[in-house]
Amino acid sequence: MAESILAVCPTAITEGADAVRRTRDDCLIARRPYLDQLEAAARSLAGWPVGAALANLEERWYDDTGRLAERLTDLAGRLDEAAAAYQAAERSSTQRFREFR
Amino acid sequence: MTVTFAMVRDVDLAPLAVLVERSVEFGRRCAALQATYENEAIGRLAGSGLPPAALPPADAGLDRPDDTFEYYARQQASAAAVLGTLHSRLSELQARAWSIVDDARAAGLAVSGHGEIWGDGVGGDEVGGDEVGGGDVGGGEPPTGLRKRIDRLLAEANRLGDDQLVHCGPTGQGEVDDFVWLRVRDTAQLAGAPLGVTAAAIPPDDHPAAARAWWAGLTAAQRDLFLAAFPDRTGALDGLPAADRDRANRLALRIAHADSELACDPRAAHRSQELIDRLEAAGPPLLLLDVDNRTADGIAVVAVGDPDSARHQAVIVPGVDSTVDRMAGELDRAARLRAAADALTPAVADDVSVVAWLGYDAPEQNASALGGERADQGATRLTRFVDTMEQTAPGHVTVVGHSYGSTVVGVAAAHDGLRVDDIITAGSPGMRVHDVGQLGLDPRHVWAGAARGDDVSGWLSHFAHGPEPHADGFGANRFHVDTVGHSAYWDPGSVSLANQAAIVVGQYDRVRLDHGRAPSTVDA
Repeated sequence: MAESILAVCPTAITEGADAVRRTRDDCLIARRPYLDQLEAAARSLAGWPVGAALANLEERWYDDTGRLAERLTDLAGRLDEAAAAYQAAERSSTQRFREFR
Repeated sequence: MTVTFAMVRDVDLAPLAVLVERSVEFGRRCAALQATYENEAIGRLAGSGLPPAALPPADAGLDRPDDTFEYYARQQASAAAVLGTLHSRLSELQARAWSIVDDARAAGLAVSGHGEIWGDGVGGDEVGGDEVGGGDVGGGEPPTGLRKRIDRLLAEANRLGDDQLVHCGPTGQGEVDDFVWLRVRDTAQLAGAPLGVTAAAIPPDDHPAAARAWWAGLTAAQRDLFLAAFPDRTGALDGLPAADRDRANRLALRIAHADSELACDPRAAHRSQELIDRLEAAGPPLLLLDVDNRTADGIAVVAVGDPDSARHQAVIVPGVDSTVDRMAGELDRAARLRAAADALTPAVADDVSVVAWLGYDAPEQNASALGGERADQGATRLTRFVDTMEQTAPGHVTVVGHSYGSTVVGVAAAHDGLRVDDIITAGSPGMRVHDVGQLGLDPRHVWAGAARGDDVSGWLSHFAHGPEPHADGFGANRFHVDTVGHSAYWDPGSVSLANQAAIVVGQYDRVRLDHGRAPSTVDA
């Protein structure tokens, strides 16, 4: 067990969590022009069945990308917690080792 | 809600035209996000040492968001096509509306915003203020052709529904499951049909050059749709660029996986999942050139490095008991050989591609390994694969046969006209030829290795597949092997691996021989 704790690099986990958050932010930025244009196209086709379909599509993409962003936020948080746990275990082991010496 | 004549006539299509572009852009950015997530998030975590059991649970697992981005990207390819078709259809309706207005005007009539025809003696009392056309009008009824045209136009405009747009949406969950890939394919077929993206349009799989020319003549959007709509056909189509075949085959693999689950075939489902996981794992770029999960052991051809751009191409043919389930080991060998060979040509990065070719039904550890039937079948397919590679991406080609794979190579060279620059065998039980002269290749370009403690290379050959190629009397070069046993020929840092790498890049003077004579180095 001690071996696996020592083999883990908490910094890399934190970097992974940061990468997950960056991906989330980039996703939210990437969706914006598409959603804005879906809305504009839906407006220009107001009264057409297909205009309503575009408005519905915009709503669905907004919701779905939002849920994905929430999942990425949650995932990054779990990774931060894992990194913190490994760092705490490492500090504790170091402390015990010093006391033992 | 009814679409009126004025709505058709005056619809502003510019936002829809821009939306097509935005959809394409969003798809591209999602594809980029998929790559970023795989390289940065998964890549960093893979290097963190975090044990798999400590990773977040599957419901928030690490391998899902990149699948979701891939799904988004593929759906946007279809969405852009559907939106483009919608734009064309609306443009056509609008043009027809104005044509009706012009014809009405020529007849001295006007068409109201509600589609009523109006003029002296024609039309109702109330036409609203948005009629277009008009002029000096004679009395009487409007031309029946005009009335029919308006009615037909409005009927079509009101029928222009949301059937296809509905399919272009996301799952609603912000994540995907194993079955969304069926939807990706079906949506692409729906979206592509109006653009000529049909199964009938795909050329037969027997003229790689013709297939390549056909592919080059398509637009990027059409190519995306063909790959998604008919992934099994386009993924298997010889002549198409490796990167495109990879995209098609990855989707075909996911669809095969979903089909296996639906058919309650756990072995096939496990096999496809293993390959999916390996393809998505961190490491050198992998290209899935061929896949078929319907056969007993599965078929998979995976390149480490792009063969289309590589100057040196190697194809490793595995032997007994090779299945798609165990493809990870073959890919590790291919990756090591590629890395070692690439290191010998430092002036040009990534100029080596090594293909793990499980393109045949390899024998099992039973009587099938002692016969030539599987070798005959494999040889035909191997020759075709190498021929296609040579036509579409000419380079220095080496075929490496391991174990029974060398038997396949022997049959291909002796009987099917396999055209390669070098042949390497490792742990060969025999090539079903009497000597090197039957392989149709300068003997100096045939290289055989046999390790100490390799039980396959030795006892089988005497009664099954002919003499051992590493034996003195066979006539091939015997390269030095410092590894032990049947499965260690590509161990990191071994002389065996270094020798093979030197052959792959044509640096023959670097090959350490036990016997034989190397050709002069032609390419460094």
